[in-house]
Amino acid sequence: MTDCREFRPRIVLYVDREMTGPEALRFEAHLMECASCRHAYDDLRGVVDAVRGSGPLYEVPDQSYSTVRKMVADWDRRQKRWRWMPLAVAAAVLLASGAILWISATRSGYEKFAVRAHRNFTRGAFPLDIASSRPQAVSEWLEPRVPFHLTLPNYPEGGPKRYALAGARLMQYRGEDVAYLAYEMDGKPISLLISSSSRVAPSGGENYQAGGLTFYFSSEQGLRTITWKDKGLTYAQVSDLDVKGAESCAICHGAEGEHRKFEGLGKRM
Amino acid sequence: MEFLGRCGVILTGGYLPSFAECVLGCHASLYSYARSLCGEPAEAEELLQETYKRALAAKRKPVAADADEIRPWLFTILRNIWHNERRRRSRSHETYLEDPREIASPDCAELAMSRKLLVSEVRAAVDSLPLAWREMIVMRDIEDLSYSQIAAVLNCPIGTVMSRLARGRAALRLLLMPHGYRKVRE
Repeated sequence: MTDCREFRPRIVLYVDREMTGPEALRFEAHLMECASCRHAYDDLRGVVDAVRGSGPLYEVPDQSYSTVRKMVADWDRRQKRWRWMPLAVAAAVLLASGAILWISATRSGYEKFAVRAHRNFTRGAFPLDIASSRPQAVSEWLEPRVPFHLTLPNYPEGGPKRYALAGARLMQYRGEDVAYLAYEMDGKPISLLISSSSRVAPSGGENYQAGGLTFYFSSEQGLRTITWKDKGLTYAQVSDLDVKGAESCAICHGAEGEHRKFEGLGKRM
Repeated sequence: MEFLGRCGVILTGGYLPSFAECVLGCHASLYSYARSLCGEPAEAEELLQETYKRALAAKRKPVAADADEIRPWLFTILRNIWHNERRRRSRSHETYLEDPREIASPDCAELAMSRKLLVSEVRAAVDSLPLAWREMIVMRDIEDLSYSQIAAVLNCPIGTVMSRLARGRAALRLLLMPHGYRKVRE
C-alpha cells in the first residue's frame, strides 16, 4: 500500500518516459506485483496509445509543404549568397591594408635608405665616386649618370654658408638611379639623396610648409632626416647636426634670397 | 544510418543536416500543432507560414542540426504568433476548460455511429477537447515533446504541464470510453 501511494502518481511519468532508468526498474518491479497499479497503468496506457496510435491527427496538405519548402529554399539560397559576404569583406580589408602598408613602406623606405647610406658613408664603407668640393665638377659628373637634370648651386666661398661639398656617388634605390651628395659642415657629414622616381615620396613624423613646399622631419638614433619634393625630384637630407626640425634647413639656406623659402619654418619652431 | 529525433532528417555517416533541412523536417509537426490551435485548416496554414517566416528571419536561431532544440523553438514561435493574434482579435473560439466534467458527453451522432473505435473517432475526441488540454495531448502524445520542452513552449512550470495533461487525458478517456478505446492497442 505504501508502495502504491508512492508509485500511483508516478504512473504518468513512466508512460511519458520521464523516469530515470533505476526509477523505471523499481516502478516495473512494483507493477509486476501490484494488480491495482497495473490496472491504473493499463487504463492510462490505453488512452495514450489510442492517441499515439491514431497517427497524424491532421492530414498535411501537399500545397502546405510545397509552399514552406520554397520559402525555406529561398532563404537558404540567400544565406549561401550572403555567406560569402564576410569573406569578401575580409578579403577587401586585407587588400586595402596590404595596399596601405605597401604604399607606406614604399614611401617611408626612402628616408630609411637615406639614413643607411649616411651611416655607411660616415663609417667609411661607402666611397664616393667623385670627390670634389666644386659643385660644377660634381654636376658634370652626375649629369650623364642620373635620369634627371641636376645643377648644383655654386655658392661663393667665404659667404654665409658654412657647409662644403665633399663629392658624390651613384646609388640604386628600387631599381632606379639615385644621386648621393656628400657635404660637410663644421666637420660633420651631411648626406643628400636625390631621386626622380615617381614611386618615391617624402615622409616623416612632422611636416612644415614653406615656400610652397612641404618638408617632412624625422629623427632616428641621433640622425635627423628631412625629405621634400620639388619639381619632380624627391630629396632626403640626413645629418647629425644638433638642430631641430626646420632649423636644419635654415643653416644651409641662411643666405639672402634663400630666406624667403624658410620664413614659415622659422615661425613654427 | 541514424534517425535524428523527430526532425525528419536522415543522417548518414558524419553528415549534419543544415538549419534549413531541420526546420523543413518539422513541417508536419508544426502543421499538426497549428491545427490543434486553430481548428480551421486555412487559419492553421496561415499560422504555419507566418511561423516559418519569423523563424527564418530570427537573428538568434538554435544550433543547426539540433532537432531537440529546433522543434520546441518553432513550436514556441508558432504559439506566440497564435496567442498574440488571438489577443489582438480579442475573441476566443474556445475556452480553457480545466474541468473534465464540463466536457460534452461523446454521444454526438458522428461518434455514436459505430461502436468500433476508429482513428477518426480518436481525432474527433481530441478535437473536441478544450484547447488548453488539446494542445497538451498534441505536443506530448502526438509530437512526443518532453515535459520540459512543453513547459518551455508554453512558458509555464512543468507542474502545470503535468496537470493539464492529466486533465486532458482524463477527458479523453471519458470521450473514448464508449468506443472501447482499448481496441486501438490491439
